Amino acid sequence: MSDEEYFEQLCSNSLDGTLTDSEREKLEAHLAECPSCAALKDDLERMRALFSEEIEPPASLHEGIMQRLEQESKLKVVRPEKPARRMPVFTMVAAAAVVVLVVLGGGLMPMFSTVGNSRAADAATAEGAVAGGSDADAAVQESAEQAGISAYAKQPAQSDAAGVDAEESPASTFLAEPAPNTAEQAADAETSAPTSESTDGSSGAAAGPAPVPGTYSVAPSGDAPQSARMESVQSAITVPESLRAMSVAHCYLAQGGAELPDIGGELLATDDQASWFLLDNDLVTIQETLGAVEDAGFAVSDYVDAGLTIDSKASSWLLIVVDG
Amino acid sequence: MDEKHILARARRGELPAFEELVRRYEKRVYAVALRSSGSPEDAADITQEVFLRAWRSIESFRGDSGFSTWLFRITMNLCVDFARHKHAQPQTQPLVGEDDAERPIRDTAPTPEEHLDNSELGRELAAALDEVSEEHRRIVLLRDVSGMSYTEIAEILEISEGTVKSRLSRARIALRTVLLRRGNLLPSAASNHTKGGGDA
Repeated sequence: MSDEEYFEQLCSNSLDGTLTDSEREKLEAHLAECPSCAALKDDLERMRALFSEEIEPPASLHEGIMQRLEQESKLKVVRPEKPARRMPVFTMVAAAAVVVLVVLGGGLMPMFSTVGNSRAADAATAEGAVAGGSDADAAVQESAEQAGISAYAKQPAQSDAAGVDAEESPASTFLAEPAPNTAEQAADAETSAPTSESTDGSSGAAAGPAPVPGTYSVAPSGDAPQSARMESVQSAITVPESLRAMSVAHCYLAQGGAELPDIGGELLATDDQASWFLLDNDLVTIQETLGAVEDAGFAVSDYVDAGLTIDSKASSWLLIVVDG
Repeated sequence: MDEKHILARARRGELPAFEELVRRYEKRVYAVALRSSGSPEDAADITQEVFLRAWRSIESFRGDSGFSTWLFRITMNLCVDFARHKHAQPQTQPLVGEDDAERPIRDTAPTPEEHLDNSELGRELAAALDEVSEEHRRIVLLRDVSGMSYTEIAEILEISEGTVKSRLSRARIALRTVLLRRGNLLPSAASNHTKGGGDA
């Protein structure tokens, strides 16, 4: 670098306040005897003032941006961009519901009845009470009906409104093509459901033709209408009983990959269908883990499971890796 | 609220979380777009497009760099695309002649001392930026308009911080040369100096 270039760069750097003490001294000494560089520095300072002048955006800017984003969000719902990634979510939704069905209709009910009015029991009842669809597998619906009614009968703490739902549309599983009025009923049940902290997506999703439960939503966050478009439910995966009372910040589902990369978390449970990992809730861990899983060929989707409370302040998050 | 937390929520598709990011950055993105395009309408369009693209691809944002770095990379690319598009469709600038040789004619219009209102100032700055290389335009926009640090600029442009300093210096001097020649914003005595040169 020539002397000239050196001092030009010092003039430039001086605008940014990045000169060292010795550089500042050298520059000052040089400017005292070089009018050309002194003029350069003056001009650069004036230019800098012009370019960095405060700009106040028009008042409509924010609204304009948000309108476009909202339009885009609606489009996203109508147009399934990644159907392959959505299917497993819905599969899991149905699977979770089936688990509820089994739990409520089977031998575990005595355990719930001992819990009395605890939140776990309320949650289980809410799941059982909220309804699914209309015209799918009749056998499933029939047994679900029994489950729904028995759940209601065994849980006197359950509110009237939810109870009505349980009687009117008692299927405890979420079916592929729910009747729109079912969603409305589910929305009605919201007011009487035991808590309202579990999902952010439930109230918005309830407005659409989606199988939305009261509060303990079994719908994937924000994707319920898409899920409702899915044609059928092929497989069922059971959520381990030990995980159902957990509170996590996020829940993600990974499916379709061949070989799972190392997961930097605790393996809570595994069976022949899926593995459940608990990881620290920080952005880097989330991004690195999901990135590695996606790189390994898995499709990752956000997933709000029925048995889990989603709490953004929770210290950990759950990754469910579905085999095959 | 912590930006990481907001980002994690936005990545899950929560629009209210993303709106918070819009609030934090829209002013700076708009400023860059305005200085680059010279038109408030175009700047608003560019700003909308920046956030639309960011929202569409937020899931793929992995946090390897800061969110602002990622967002301003999108901003710079859109500003450059927009400028190219505008050059390809000269009907939006009816005063531009048939070829570049006619450019100096535009420089004769206002006298150096003439007062420029905000919109004229904006157009003049954008026109001057338009005359320097794309490389120089980008770095001046990032540093002097958006106020990014050397480190952030180095990340966005994928160059070393040393290169940021030297390129910024050359870019500012090139821009000064243009402004001296145009004579609207750096008038009078300054144009008599040799360094950086002017046509005067």
